[in-house]
Amino acid sequence: VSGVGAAAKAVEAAIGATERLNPTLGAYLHLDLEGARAAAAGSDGRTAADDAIARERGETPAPDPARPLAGMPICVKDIVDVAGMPTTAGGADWARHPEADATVVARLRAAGAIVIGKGNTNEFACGIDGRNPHKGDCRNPYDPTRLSGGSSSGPAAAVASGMAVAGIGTDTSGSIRVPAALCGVVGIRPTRGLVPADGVVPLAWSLDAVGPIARDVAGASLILDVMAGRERPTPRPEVRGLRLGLATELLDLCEEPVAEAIGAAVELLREEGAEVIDLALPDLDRANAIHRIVQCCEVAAAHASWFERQRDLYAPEVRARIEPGYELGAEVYLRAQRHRRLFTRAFAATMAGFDAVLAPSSPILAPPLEAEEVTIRGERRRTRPALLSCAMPFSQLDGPAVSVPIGLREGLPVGLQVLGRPHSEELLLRVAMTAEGGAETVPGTIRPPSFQPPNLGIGGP
Amino acid sequence: MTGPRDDPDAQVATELAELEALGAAISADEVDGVPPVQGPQVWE
Repeated sequence: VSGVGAAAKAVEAAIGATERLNPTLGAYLHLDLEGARAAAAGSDGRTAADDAIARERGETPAPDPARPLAGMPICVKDIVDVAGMPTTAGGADWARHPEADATVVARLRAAGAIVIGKGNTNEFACGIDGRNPHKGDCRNPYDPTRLSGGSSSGPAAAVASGMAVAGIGTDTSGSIRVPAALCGVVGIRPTRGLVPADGVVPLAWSLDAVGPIARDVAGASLILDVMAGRERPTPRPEVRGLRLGLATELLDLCEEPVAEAIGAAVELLREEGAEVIDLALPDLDRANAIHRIVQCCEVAAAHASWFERQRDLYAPEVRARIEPGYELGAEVYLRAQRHRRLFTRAFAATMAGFDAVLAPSSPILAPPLEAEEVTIRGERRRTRPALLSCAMPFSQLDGPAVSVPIGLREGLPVGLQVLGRPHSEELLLRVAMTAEGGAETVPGTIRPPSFQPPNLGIGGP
Repeated sequence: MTGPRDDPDAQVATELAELEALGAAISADEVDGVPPVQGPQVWE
């Protein structure tokens, strides 16, 4: 977004898409359209003033480097505070009314981003499917009869459908990566601690990560740097000489169209000069056990001050994710955190000699909304654990992971997950950017910045 | 007919039983001398 009037144009495009599509998709829970228009006018006014000063000095007007996101409409997951808007966390009867932005929102606004509204989420970010019995389900822009994925459902669906150019999500077990994959957008779970989490309703402190959702890798990279309060050059799609491990046991969990798409992305990366080698990972069942115990104990602690009041208001499946944490006890929690360190050591040892690991983001295409179970290669599996199966085991490692769309299969997006060592975001984004480039070269697939979800009649990128 | 999915207490009990079983499967012996994760990890 650049030039005088560009902010108003971008915001009006997002508002137009929102007015047409949000009643169907349920991506936003709260909107501030007039506030967004006023912010756009302010942004364009500032750009016009800067341009006038430049001309007076005989210089050519140029974008303000202090506002790299000038006029960019964003959707903020409704567990992240935005001053003047309620934070409901998608709960039945829970809200706070912040007077200050979360640090991550303040940084994006200072860089010129404009908040359109608060995005849908699973109740208290506790879920992976994007459904919400209290606020209404978020639906997939490619097919509104299907799941968007969650819990950062609103930002992913908003970005995919043009209701925002980018979003702020959070990822504890896969809550950025899975909706990004199902909705065909880019999502980054950053190195834990890279992006501040103050002003964000916690799910599990030692697992939570705040990160961007965007239409393409370059955009996600830029937004991540603003979120992290740093400036870095945009990564380039260069993978020559990289050694990448392919998590074949997770490919075996995938339904065939997903496995086939991942295989095509792997071939592209090889053609571009990466060495891709099958990699056997440490015990992922154990990783999932550790994760579930840690998360349950921490979410119970986070909810302790309001649990009794909310107890009968939680959806049953959400209450079941919280209440056992009051029974498990400190020793089990700390034992799990000790095993987490062991698993991380084992994973780090497995990755020795590799630059990054490739895996599916989700083993399945977006399932129907009501699907309690899915069939993968003839085997019935519960939908929730299936959606989590490729993302959750890596969340305890504290390293980054990117989900990048690599094309459509059966009309639905497929996401490739690229994960690695703490603070290896730039390397992962190079891989993701290369894989993303393949999406426009394969017939029937997509290029994220310009694609138009087919079932909604969205006009223009 | 009401099933376990409609009964919040049953769901809590089922989840607790699963988590207790998972907890029993990660032994204290294996982590003797290993401190818990406390902050973001730097891979060793």
